[in-house]
Amino acid sequence: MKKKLLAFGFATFILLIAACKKEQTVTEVSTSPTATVQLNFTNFIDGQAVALGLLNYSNAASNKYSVSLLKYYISNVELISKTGTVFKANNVSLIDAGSSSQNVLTMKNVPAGEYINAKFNLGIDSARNHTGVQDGYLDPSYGMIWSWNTGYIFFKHEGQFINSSKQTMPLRLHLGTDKALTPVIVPINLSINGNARKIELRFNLNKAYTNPATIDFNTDNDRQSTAAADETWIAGMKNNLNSSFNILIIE
Amino acid sequence: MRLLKFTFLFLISSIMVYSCKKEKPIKDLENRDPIPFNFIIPAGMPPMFIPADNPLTVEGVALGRKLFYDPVLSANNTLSCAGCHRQNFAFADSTLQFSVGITGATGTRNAPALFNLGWEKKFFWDGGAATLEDQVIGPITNPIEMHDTLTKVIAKLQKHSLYPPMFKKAFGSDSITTKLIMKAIAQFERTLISANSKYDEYKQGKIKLDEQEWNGMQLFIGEKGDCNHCHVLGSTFTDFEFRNNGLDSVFADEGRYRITLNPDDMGKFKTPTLRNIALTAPYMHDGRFKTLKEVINFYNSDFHLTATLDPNIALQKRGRLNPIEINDLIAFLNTLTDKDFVSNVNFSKP
Repeated sequence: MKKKLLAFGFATFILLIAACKKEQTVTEVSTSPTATVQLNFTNFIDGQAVALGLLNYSNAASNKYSVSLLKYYISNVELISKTGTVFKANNVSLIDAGSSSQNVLTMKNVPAGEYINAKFNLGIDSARNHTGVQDGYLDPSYGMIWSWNTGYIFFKHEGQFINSSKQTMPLRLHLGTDKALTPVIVPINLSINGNARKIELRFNLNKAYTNPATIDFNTDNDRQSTAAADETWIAGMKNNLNSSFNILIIE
Repeated sequence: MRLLKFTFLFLISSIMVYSCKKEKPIKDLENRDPIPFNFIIPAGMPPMFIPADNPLTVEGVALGRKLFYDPVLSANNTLSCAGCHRQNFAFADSTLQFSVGITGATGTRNAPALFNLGWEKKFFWDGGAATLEDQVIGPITNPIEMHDTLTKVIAKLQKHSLYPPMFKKAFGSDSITTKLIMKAIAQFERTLISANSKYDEYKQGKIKLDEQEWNGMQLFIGEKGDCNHCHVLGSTFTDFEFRNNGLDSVFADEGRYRITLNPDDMGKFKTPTLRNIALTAPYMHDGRFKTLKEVINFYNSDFHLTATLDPNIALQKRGRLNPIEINDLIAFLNTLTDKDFVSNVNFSKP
């Protein structure tokens, strides 16, 4: 009897120890293995990787321009499979062309499947756009919030350009406000089957300034999304940004 | 035997369940939870909204108060929040029309008084700051005010001898972030409650208003003076709305429109409270009027008709108040001064 009791007690003990484990992820019913997908954000101007400070780029309006700073938010990345299932990263990433470490999003436990579309927002959705009392990349010390009008700057390009009178002029483009939130869908051909994958989300800055709206820095060199006069620019940028990204499969 | 077995199992289970609990070390004085701030809303004032993620604590309020009075928040360490928000003027800026920033620059708006902020819905004259917490970073980073960057402010506070332990006591972490600075200052600002004026004593039946003050109050609430539509009599003395009060026919400052880009908001500014109004001259968003008499003369006859003019003013007859009535109104406005508030040691420089 004593032995039996001891054995029983021991079993209880083991059970309880096991039950003590924190973060018991939902047991997978399916046997398909999940995978980690690393998403690298890269910034290009047509075929070239963005180099800061070079007054040598040319946009569709034939403005010669430079990039001294290029930052933008990519949030709520989703991978959509052939069968319609959605993997949500629930991320807020701040892409910075001047940073080598910041431009990576690691998505863990992506279920097996054939992914055909990637979806994300350029910007911050309205639920998180109206207070700076937030952490991570939404911390106001990243300088991506307007302090006089609570809301995030979704996209920031600063630099110089050469105007039609051949003068070098400042370029300051700050895109934001709820109406500037840009949902983007990019086709992808990604098969997940347990192996870690690496993909690249490539942004072409020149595409942000053309098709359908050609942005000419002679008139649009200083936009802060604050005046009625900025509204046409905001709408144009939104339409352009929508098709300024593509995805490459690296591994 | 059965009983013994059960007792034994129960004991084991209890021990195991207990050991499952998250580690809860016995907290020493350094690490104890902050003490809830004993916050009393004065009788006659409405309930105050306090964000769930920023409850008032003794340590949080003390930290916010220290930050409020500390010029470390400005780029050259010369200007604190209190530099332009002085307690003896109900936290408005003396009698200056425009406050002076660290570089000597001045803005285009008059520094507002700071009290009863927990009841406000939006901050700044145009409501650009969504919450009291969000308001905090405006003056710190504005080039014509304290002109600092949040990164630098955090670095200065982090290496300060007193601040990291104060943040630890208030928020459980000595790693200083923008969010915690915003929260601490907002906590202190919520404690700045003013509701103990002569008018409040009258309302509580403790004293009587004199004849002139009483006449002024009748004008205030009546159609003739018509202050009451916006500066609602009784508790906060404001409706917190944005209105065009007819100051200009051409808007040098577009006010609320600058935030919403809605043409209907052109030339609108937040209705300020009239509590402590005798202490907070000059008046209007741009401080254009030096005295209450100038203000009332303006509302009596000098308002401009524009598309967005507030209907309560647009429907008024010009010159409806005579000089005696104007003085009566001023006498009533003077009963809204809260002397205890401006001398309350809990709000002064720590």
